[in-house]
Formats: sequence, C-alpha cells, structure tokens
Amino acid sequence: MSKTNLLTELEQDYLVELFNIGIGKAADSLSQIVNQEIILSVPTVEYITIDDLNKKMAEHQDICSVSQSVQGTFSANSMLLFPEESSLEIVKKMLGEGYSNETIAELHQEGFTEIGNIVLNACIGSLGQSFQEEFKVGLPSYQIGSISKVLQTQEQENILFIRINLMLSESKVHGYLVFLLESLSFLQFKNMLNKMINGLLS
Amino acid sequence: MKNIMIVDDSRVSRMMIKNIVLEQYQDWKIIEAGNAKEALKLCTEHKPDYFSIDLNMPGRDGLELIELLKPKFKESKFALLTANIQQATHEKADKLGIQSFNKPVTLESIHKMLGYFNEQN
Repeated sequence: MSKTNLLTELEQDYLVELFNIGIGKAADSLSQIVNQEIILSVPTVEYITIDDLNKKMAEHQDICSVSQSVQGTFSANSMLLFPEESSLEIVKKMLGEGYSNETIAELHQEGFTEIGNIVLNACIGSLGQSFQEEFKVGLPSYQIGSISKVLQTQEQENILFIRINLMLSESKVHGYLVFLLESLSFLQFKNMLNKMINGLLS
Repeated sequence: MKNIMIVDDSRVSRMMIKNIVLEQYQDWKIIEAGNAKEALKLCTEHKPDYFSIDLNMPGRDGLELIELLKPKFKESKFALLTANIQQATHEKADKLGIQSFNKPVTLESIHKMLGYFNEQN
C-alpha cells in the first residue's frame, strides 16, 4: 500500500465515525448477552505490516478468535478477539447461573463462536446501513492460539487495521474487535468513503 | 400442546432458546435441528406448529430452508432468528411472509417471537 493511497484526515475521521456507530450496535448486542455495560475505546485506524501487527498484539498468550469474512464492494475480515480466560468468562455470563465449570468448558467453543457471530454481524449490519450496501457475511470460524496463528492473512505487506477495545464494566475483561482490509479492497473502500463524504458535503 | 422446531447450528443458541420456551410453555415439545438437512428430515415426523430458524448455517441457509418448508407446512408459523441485522435480510424475510427477530437470544427476543407465534392468524 503506497503512501499516496493512505486515508486523508477527513476520510479517516469519517471512517472512525462509521465504526463508532457499528461498534455501538455490537456493544449493545454483547451487553445483552453478558448483562453488563460494555466500555468502548475510540476506534484506532492503522496501516501496519502483518509482522508489526503480530508484535503489537503479542501481549496476550492464548487468544480466542471468531472471524467472519465480509464481502461486498470491498472484502474484509472481521474478528472478535479475547484472551482465552476472558472468553470463558463471557461464555459463563451468557449461559447464566446453574452451569458447572465442566459444562462451561465444554460449551466454550460453540458459545464463543455464537457470541462472535452476533457481535460481528451487529457491527457489519450497521456498516452495511451506512454504506447502503448488503454485505455477505461468511460463517463464523473459531480459533485459539497465539496471535500470529489467529491473525493469519494472505497479505504480506501493509493492511488497514481497525481496532476497538471492548471492556466488560463489571467483569473487567478486555477484548478487541478487529477489521483487516488488504490492499485491493482498501482502494475500493477508500472510493466508497469518498463517495459518501462527497454526498454529505454537497 | 404445541410442537416447536428450533433450527440453529449453534448448540448453545438452541439450548438457550429451548430453556426460555420451556420456562413459559412446559408442555411444548421441542425438536432441535443443527442444520437444514436435519430439519427437513425431522419435520416430516414431528409436524411442528412453529419454526424458529437461524439464517447463517453451513449448507442451506435459513431462508432457503423456509422456502422449502413453507409449502409443506401451510398452517405453521415461521420465525427467522438471526444475528444478521441488515435491512436486506429483513426484507428477504418479509418477501417470504415471515417475521424476523434479531439475536442475541434473550428473554426479550424469544418472548417477542413467542408473542408472534401466539398471534391469531
């Protein structure tokens, strides 16, 4: 991704706003699942190599991830990431009282996959409304392992990395919602953003 | 007594829906299917009055399944219960003449769906 193709300040500002709305929907869904408020960070937008991305996220040992492909005018990969312990806590909250630790452990993968499915779809759905486009959303895929394992991408050069930190207000567990856009899709994405901005300003 | 079929590839979602339904209607019979193929097989035997169907599943999706089931179960009521909150999804459900409900599975979302099932035709 060459420097000339990077987002302008206005494009980036608008992108953050779109994601703020999307993540608001996602947080609302997550909040209904775990019955507590979700505290959100402002989305950060970065252009980053996959190596740097791995280093940046390497603070956690084992990460649970649910990813779903997003196909429309542009393609992206959306991911919900939580450290393993935190993901167990979330599944526990979702299931409610009365389940043994063994049952929670048994249902962990399926439960967390469904949580990812709901949260990611809420955000993608909101983005679809903003872009006035229907996105095809792939089936959720669960992975657990090091950050380099769960953040695999075909792209070896720079990718657009949009990250939002999520924190459960009572349980104090942190996770991330990540969107990865590779070079080709980035240009289409930039064009769409511009069309929308021009529409707003005209 | 009514029969309700819950079609969802997520076991956890099926479990949560089932618990909420049974809390309200202890005598209802619950039939669970993890995908469209299983649903098509089980429904001929059980003839459900109500269907709660997920959208995004491996194999046939929920809307394709409903298209196949509706002509066979003209008296039954169908609900699409989906995480896909996009307007386009709701419009597709409208075209099929069915009601869609947004996940997550909560007391509120399932009570809304049950309210829809209990409405007079």
